[in-house]
Amino acid sequence: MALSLVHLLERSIRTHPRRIAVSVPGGPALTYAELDRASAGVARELLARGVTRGARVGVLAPKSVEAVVGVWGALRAGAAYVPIDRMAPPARAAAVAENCAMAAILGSAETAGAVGAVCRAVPGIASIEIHPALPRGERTLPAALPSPNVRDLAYILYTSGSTGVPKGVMVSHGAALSFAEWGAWRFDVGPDDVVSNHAPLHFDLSTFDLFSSAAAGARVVVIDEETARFPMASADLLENEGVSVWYSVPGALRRMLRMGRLGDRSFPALRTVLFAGEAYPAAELRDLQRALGPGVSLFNLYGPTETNVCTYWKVPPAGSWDLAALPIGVDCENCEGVVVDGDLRPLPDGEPGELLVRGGTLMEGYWGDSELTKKGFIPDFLHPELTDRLYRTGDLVRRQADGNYSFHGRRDHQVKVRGYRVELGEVETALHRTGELGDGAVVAAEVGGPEGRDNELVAFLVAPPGAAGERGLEASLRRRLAETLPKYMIPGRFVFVAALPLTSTGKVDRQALRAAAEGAGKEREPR
Amino acid sequence: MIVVERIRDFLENELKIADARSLSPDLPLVQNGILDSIELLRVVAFLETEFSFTVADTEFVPSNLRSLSAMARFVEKKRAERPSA
Repeated sequence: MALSLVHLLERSIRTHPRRIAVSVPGGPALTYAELDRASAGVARELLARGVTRGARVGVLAPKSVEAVVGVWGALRAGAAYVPIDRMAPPARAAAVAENCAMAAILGSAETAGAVGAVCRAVPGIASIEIHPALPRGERTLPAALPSPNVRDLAYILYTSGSTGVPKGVMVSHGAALSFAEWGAWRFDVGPDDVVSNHAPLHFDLSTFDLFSSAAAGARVVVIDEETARFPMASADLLENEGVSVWYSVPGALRRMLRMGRLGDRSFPALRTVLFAGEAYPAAELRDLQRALGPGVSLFNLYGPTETNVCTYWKVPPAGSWDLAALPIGVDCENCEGVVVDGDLRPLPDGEPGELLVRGGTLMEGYWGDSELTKKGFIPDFLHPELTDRLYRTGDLVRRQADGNYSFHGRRDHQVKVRGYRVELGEVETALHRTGELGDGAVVAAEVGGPEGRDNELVAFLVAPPGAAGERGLEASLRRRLAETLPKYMIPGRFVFVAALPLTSTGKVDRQALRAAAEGAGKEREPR
Repeated sequence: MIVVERIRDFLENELKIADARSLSPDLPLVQNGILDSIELLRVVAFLETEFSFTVADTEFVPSNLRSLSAMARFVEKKRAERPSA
């Protein structure tokens, strides 16, 4: 057990100073002792530049050893780190920096331009370039670094917000620790393990990679953006870097199986494969299981960013299961779920309802949005003697008699596109903000793509009177959306209609739109 | 260079990449988030149809597909390998 993420790291620095803490294939590697010096150097630089305990420090860097040093540097300065998606448009990065009143941004040579753009848009942010190789910090003060406690914020992850602005999920050291220690314990991560870091830092999967590894004194292998997207390169890495614990979205594993020749390779070090973020098609998972062999355990992890992982399902041995859809599993040992109906009354097993979660990993709330925070939580009515909270996931599930939950969709307009969480309301708000539309609605349609069936965003639009041609309007709307939204949030198809269909109560008939989008969705042959 | 222009056309018209015309030929497209995983698959499918060859899994690697210029070199290499009719 530990007091904070910093405490976790310091323990491994003391116990395993000469073991590798973080590396990139073919690139630099830092031992725990080196990570200590490098991250303390960044922390001291942050303190010297006026960053105080509780301040927010952005990390805007390519996936690299530097980025990991930056995360630890921010934490050791007593600040909360805020990873910025470097693939997102500059206006979105600036909106995040402004939203959380960022005090400083840690960047690298490759992201100097992007960091500069944020600093110009939001004045008063200190910009610092991370150089892990340089012996920093001796000249700066103070000598002792602040020691965060369980209530201090460790990080803020921004996700799609239904009102049109991304929302910042605030996670305390206590909550981050609860997950990191659970992960290290549940998956038996030890100092000999090599843990992959496939996910970008602004995706909560990365918190397992970084912090459960640090808890165990293990090594984390950071996978750069290019290697992560080329299946053969990812599979080479899995084979050659001695990865023993792999964690990614299903898409990455599916592509490696299909195009990375996993079946022809051997992975003597690999023992555990974790996946989360979207459903893994059951038939493909059976193929993966056969390709990896009986020595590898697979786990389906589930949980929104607000709770981190809250349920998990261990995939039974190959040949012993033939489910059509995977369950999301049982409650993690540090969490407890309850399924309720629309009036928040607990439901018996087998009845579908919303999943509420209590436990150690819950977020503090949304940065600067107490209204939204209030909506996200309800007092724990199951344990009225405690002042505990239940988080409303908005996910519809059913609990089976054996304690496993099955997933049955959302009770709102949040969807997953290629594993990314998207609030349709955010896309619609961005469309309306262009001022170039009569009316519009966005739906997620399940269509055939190069990867099998997946959600595609389809925008149904009513052109304003006197608008130029549809092609010109579409091009202009795409340009405007790309200024504020990341790629995966921009609709794949724009369909112009005379009017949006309405339900009997006068609301936009989203079911009709989805049916229209799915009917018209052109099927692409899977590769 | 004509190959690069045809790939730019595809990026602009099919993948709706707004600044496809101004992308530097040596810019790493995936590393910099210009192409995501699915778009990369679509580019490869386009190269296969447009230039009449098949891309083996072992050729689906950064050195062949990292940038516009890498793609163009790859297309030329594949064309040269093709037995002339």
